[in-house]
Amino acid sequence: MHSSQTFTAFMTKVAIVHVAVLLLLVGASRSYGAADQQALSAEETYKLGERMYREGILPSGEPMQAFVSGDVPVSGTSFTCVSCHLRSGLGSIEGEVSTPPANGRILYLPREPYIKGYEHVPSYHNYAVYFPTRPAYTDDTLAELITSGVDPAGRSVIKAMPIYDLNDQDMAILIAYLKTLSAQPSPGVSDSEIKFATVIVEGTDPVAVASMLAPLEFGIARKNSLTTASSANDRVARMGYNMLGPDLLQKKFSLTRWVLKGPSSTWRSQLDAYYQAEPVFALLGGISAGDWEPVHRFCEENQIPDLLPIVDYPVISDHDWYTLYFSRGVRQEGESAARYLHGMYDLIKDRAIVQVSRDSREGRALADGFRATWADTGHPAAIDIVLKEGEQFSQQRLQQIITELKPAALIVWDDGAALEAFAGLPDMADRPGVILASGTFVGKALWTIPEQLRGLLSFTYPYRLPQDDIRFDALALKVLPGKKTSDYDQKIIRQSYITNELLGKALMDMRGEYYRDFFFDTIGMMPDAYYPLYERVGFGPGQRYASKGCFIVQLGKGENPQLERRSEWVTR
Amino acid sequence: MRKSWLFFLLVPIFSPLCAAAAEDAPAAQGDVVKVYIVNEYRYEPGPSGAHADIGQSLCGTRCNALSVDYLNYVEPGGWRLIKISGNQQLLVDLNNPSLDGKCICIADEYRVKVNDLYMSK
Amino acid sequence: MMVQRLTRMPRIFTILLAILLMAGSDAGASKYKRSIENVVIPDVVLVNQQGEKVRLKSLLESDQPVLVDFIYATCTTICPILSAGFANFQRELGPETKNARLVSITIDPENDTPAAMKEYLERYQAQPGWDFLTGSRQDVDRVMKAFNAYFRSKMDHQPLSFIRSQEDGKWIRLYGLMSSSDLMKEFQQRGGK
Repeated sequence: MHSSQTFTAFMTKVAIVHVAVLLLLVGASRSYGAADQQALSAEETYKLGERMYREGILPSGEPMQAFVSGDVPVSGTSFTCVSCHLRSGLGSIEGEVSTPPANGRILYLPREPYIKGYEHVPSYHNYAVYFPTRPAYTDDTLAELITSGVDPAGRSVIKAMPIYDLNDQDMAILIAYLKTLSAQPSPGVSDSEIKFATVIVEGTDPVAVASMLAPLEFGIARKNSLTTASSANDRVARMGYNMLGPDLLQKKFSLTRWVLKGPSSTWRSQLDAYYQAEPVFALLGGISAGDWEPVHRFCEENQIPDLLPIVDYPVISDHDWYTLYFSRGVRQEGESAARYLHGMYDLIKDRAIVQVSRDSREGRALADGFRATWADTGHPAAIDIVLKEGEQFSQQRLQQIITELKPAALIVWDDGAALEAFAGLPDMADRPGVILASGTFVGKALWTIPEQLRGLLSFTYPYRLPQDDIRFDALALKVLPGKKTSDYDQKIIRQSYITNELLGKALMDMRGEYYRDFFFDTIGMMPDAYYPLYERVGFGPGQRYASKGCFIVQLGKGENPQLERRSEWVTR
Repeated sequence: MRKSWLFFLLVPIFSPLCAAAAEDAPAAQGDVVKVYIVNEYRYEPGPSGAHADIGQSLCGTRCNALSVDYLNYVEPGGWRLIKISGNQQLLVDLNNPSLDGKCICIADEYRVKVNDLYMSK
Repeated sequence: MMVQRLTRMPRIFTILLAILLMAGSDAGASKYKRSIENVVIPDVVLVNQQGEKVRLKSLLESDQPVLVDFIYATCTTICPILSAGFANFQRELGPETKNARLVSITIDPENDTPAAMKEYLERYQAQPGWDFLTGSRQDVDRVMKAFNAYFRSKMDHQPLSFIRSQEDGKWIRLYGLMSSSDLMKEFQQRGGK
């Protein structure tokens, strides 16, 4: 085990020296087409290098020019370094193509057919065996690789890696950036410990909070007891060593609770204070019945991963990176309803579509999800009717909507009380062919729909059907040994179970490289999985919503009815 | 759930009386649970010949909804699927007055069984 | 945990293949594998990057030559090479672009929405005639199986391209990463063997 202290100091020196050399280079080189020759600050250099690495854009603003597979020209913006080497620079494995690390720390060391310190770990995901050995890179040989595709061992990599046409100055900027990539382990990791925290919004239902915590604390306690036991028992030590490798085995985990009090406008300063007091490696889980954005922003700006917080209103973004959510929350049901209707649009297009929604947080999220997805289809907008607080969705209201607007499809985002409005539906003339509501919003009322209405009402249901999910009970309840399961919220237990599973898998795959970006890069390389609660969850580079599906269901026949699917998990 | 057991007998094709949606609903606890895995599907347009494409699309949605993902049964451990019959033709109601054709799913039928074979997943 | 470790083993064989491929490659030479297949296209309805429904059989069994590959929008390594190949192929056809139909089918239908696919095609400067299709998981699995290109996990997918000859309806299966000259050569020779 190298001493991280001296290694850190060494790398810092290396970084400083390289930046100094770079500045020298920048000042002295004859620059390609640049009118002004001012030296760039270290921070500017870093930003330019990052843009080259992540976006494929040169300091001049032009796209990088590249060639792949010998003779195929490609713009650097469609074949960025980050796409294969990933954000952490620690490489990826996809099918048969393995991409080695591109970060300076590893490039500037020779590659052996094993990872130092893990030579004798038999089942360890030892990536080094996937790559041929090579001597250490130097600035010159690295530039040679990037421009000609030949590594210092004389091997050609152009089959899988593009060659880039870069001038000296741009090359120096890129190489300086590579040297900063995953150079020093992220905060929150020491020789003996990895620190995690979980964010709890004060006032959240205690049962929900306990349910979020139980699987995480179980997993961490179990890991720590493995660490303790292995120092006392050789057999356990061997098993632990094989499974985790020597480094992860001897590190203990801790999970601190960061409780956020008061209005959400004050949370950011509380988070900053918590982090200042104890910098953690990552956030695990977390729970809020309402706002989450301040926490999301905190993670985004500090580049701290948050693994699967339990929230109904996640931040929806195409490019934010640092929070992995279970799903797009309540909104996802609205989006799925829109896709479901879009799928049959040819049959309903001659008439209106009416969306009734409760003016509450839940109702608005559902309606917004529907509206945004519906707008993408290009179809005429649905007619929106909002139910204010205290306003009941009554049978009269329903009849009025049907008579006046004659909708082909009616969506009602309201709670279970609204279903009573449909009592007379079978006898109503001109009733909509499709009536959709939210299976989660109506709650228990979903199960007590009168038989004659069951074929007429459809619901969004963002989980695996209950009769199928019971097969996952034994798995999920493993995290509650000796505890009374009725004390917990089963849905949240299952969600947190997934968090615990992913945490363990990711850490085992990280081969001792404790970098925040690599944590999520690793999860991004995991295959689709069948966990409790969600029919299917999937990951991928940059994908930040694990469950992408939501069934459309109806209640079946009989006295003990079950939900029946009317759509696939993900509707297109 | 004796009624649903009868229901499975009524489902095979050439029985236009059973226009009701085919259920994937397995029987209640303790009874035999049967599921379908759909191999292919087709929409046979009705006399008007209209809506062949959207009929195929909606038929696909319904047949895929009826179909189960076998990984959901074997992944948690402790269950297995035993094939009972292959390429059964199931008629599914598309529940839409403008679609006058027939939606047929061709599915294999499986019984879900607790896996009591020693040492197997 | 141990069961998980065992299921990782088969990957090593594909990785060893990668080592062989990489170690043995010299500049320019492409060792891809080629075979002729009969593919029965399943009659599924997929969705293209414009959000339009596409009946796959009609799209692929056309009177134009067709190229098919399997990719996904967040793919890291293999897909950029395949898609750069398609983009370049279109450029090389020049004004004859309309004479070939390029179809990329996603193997990650859960994530790949029409918007994601449209953005992907724009990134590769795709010209009209190159469509990217998504659909339900079951339908996409059916298509993969029909092409003998089924991967249970998208992370384990392989570089596969297919060229259909409109003369005899057979498909050329190309396995491996190819240079643009190789792809064009295969395209021009289709239907001949």
